[in-house]
Amino acid sequence: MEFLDNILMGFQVLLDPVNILLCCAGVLMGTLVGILPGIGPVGAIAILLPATFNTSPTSTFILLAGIYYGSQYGGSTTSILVNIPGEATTIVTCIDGYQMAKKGRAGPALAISAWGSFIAGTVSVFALMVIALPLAEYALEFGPPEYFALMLAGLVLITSLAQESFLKAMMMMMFGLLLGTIGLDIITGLPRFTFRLEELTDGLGIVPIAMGLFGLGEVFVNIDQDVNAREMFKSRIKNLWPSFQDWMDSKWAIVRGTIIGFILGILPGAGPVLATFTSYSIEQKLSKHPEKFGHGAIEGVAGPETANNAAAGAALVPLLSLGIPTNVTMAMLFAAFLLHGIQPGPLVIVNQPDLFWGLIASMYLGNVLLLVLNLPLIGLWVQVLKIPGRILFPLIIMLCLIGTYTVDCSSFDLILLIIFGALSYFMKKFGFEPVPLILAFIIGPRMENSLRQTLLISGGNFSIFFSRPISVILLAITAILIIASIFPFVGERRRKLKFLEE
Amino acid sequence: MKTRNRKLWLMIITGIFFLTAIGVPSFADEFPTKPINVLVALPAAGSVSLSFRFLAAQAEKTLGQPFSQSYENGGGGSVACGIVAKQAPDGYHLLACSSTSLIRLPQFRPVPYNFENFVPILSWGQMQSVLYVHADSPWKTFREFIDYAKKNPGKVTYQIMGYGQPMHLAMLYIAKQDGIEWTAIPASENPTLQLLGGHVTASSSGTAYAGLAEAGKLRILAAHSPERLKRFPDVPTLRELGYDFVNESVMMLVAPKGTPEPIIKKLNNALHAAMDDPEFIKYMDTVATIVYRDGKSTKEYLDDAYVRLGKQIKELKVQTQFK
Repeated sequence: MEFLDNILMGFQVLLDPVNILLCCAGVLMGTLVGILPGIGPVGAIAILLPATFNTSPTSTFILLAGIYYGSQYGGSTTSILVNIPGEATTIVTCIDGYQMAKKGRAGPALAISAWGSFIAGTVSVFALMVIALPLAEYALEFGPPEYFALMLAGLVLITSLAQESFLKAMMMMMFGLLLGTIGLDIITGLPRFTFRLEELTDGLGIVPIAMGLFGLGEVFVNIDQDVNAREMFKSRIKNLWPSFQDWMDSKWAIVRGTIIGFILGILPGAGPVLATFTSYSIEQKLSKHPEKFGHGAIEGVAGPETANNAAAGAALVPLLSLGIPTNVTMAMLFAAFLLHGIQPGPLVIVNQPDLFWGLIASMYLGNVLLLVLNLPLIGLWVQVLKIPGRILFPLIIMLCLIGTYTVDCSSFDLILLIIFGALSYFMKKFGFEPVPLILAFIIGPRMENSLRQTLLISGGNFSIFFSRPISVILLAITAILIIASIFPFVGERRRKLKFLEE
Repeated sequence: MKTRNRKLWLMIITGIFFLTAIGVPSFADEFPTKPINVLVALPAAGSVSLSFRFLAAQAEKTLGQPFSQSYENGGGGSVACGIVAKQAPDGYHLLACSSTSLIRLPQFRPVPYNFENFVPILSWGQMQSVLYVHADSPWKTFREFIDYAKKNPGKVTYQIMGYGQPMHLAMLYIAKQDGIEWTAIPASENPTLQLLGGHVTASSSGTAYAGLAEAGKLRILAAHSPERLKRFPDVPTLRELGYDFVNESVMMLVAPKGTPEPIIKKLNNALHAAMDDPEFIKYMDTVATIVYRDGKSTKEYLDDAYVRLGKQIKELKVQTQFK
């Protein structure tokens, strides 16, 4: 009964017109910053934080949280339509989402990600309400060794899914890891591989690399093609809504995406990004027709898009239940707490029940609003695909340039963008895939930190990885994945050799 | 008609020249005539940025022009300092930072500025940091903890946010004085996370996380401030415990060198008056200690602290890029 009382109180708080208005404003802004490549929820919250000076803490959080989970809805749009990931969590959506768009199925792709996001968003709010505290406590069990093992498993999982060649995917992964080492060394705070360039002090940015590899690279490859075949979207737009078959194909992807997203989203740092990649790999592994992945499989969109929304909800768990920020966006919300004179911690739920339950109630409303907002927009978005290539290509290039520049206003990033666009062109020509590179680049630095933290804790002793149950299990999974990927590879080589001998 | 027009223009132009030539003193009277840009060398959600917002909101009323804040957290603050050091010294380009960005970073690696490129306007607060242990740990006092660390060399690990920062130096200082062997684990996200999970023994970090201590999840054993913290009056300071160490990072606003003295004065007056704002005081009480210094004494503090920090880095054998 207490539970019902609480949620009723939450909706009472929400009934205040100011709160409803701010909830709408939050999700609308979130959708916008999600769609716009470059500017993300962190930037938007930083800009809006001062504007919340005079609003009540509850209203502030309804607004800021709306921006955060709203951005996860919008991010997929540009991934699907023009192969530009709006956020790091929608990189993986590019793979199959864009292929679906090319085949005239952008409508179902957009619709399934909106519905998947809605389902995951609502379920994760419910989970946040019911099991927030025990889960957050359990997530603390994850120390540096567990993180290292988890990230290693994620990295190997992605690499093992290479469509072309396992060896080439490994090379791309190693290259991504190398790129990730540029910048300030976290342990000593001293620069590495920066060649005394001030711009490299903080390492390479994710945005120029992701946009270069996906958006710009795609344009370059298209320009290269025969004039007659140059139109990016050859087929006509078929239907706007997912068919019954689409729903049947995606239903388990949505269920699994929600669970994976919520679990990995609670973990600090790379959780949400890792969740989307993991969901994609698991869908491909479990699929009856894995060959369809990479060529427009709807499960490859439904899974990751669901996972990123579930992860967004889950990231609020440690912040609201324990007062621990686990990523940059959560650190902004943490600061907003302090700004309003609230000490973030386990006492927030007890001392400020109207804040906690009001926020929860607003998230239910926000998810409904997002669905209502996004579904009608799909018809509008697919019109983008009717634009002829000669107009669309320059537009995409412009979008990449502006999107990259808005992040740090750095002209160096623009050069990087172009370098990675050119690199992506050659990678495509020689059959190297960009996905292992970008994942390794994103989680590489965190993985290195975890490894070094682990070894500092154990005094340089590697046995620490094998004395802790969670890390042992994760490492075992990694080993199985490696063996499972190498054997077919070796087998194939043998067959080829035999064939040559004969 | 045309000639008259030309004459008029000539008069206007000479007039402008004249005014600029004799107008320097009156310039400061008019300052500011447009929004003042403040670049924050720390994250937008950090305590320097947020506390300055309160001051700016009040000072805007007396100055008649808004402060426009932007953030550049690159290179741990060195990028922002480098930018402002090269900007026009006209009072419209200011830098909000902590003293560590100005005096610590240049001692660790080559940066495109040094602290003498700046003229301080004022400093308004002292950062707070403390030593946390887990609430379930057996150590109720700092002494008990130190005894354990002495008896178990190499066993204690502590988390810090950044290598070579005052919170790290505090632990190195204690280790040197008592001959303790313990290991720093720099954190990437949050310096209390691994302590809460029991993966490290302690954490030397800011009071932004002190809510966890009030909630009974963590315990504070010692404060790095010169005097006991208002919020935790029972926690002894390192000085009381016999260690001559204080975390003296200061929140300050500086201008590029050459900014006219009257402009500095005007900014100082407006911002100093803003420090009476109850909202500012309320916010500062949770994250820092209010300590006011005017521009001149901030400069003296920087000169002095730079030398002392340099000595400390050498004595504590902190690794820097200058070997």
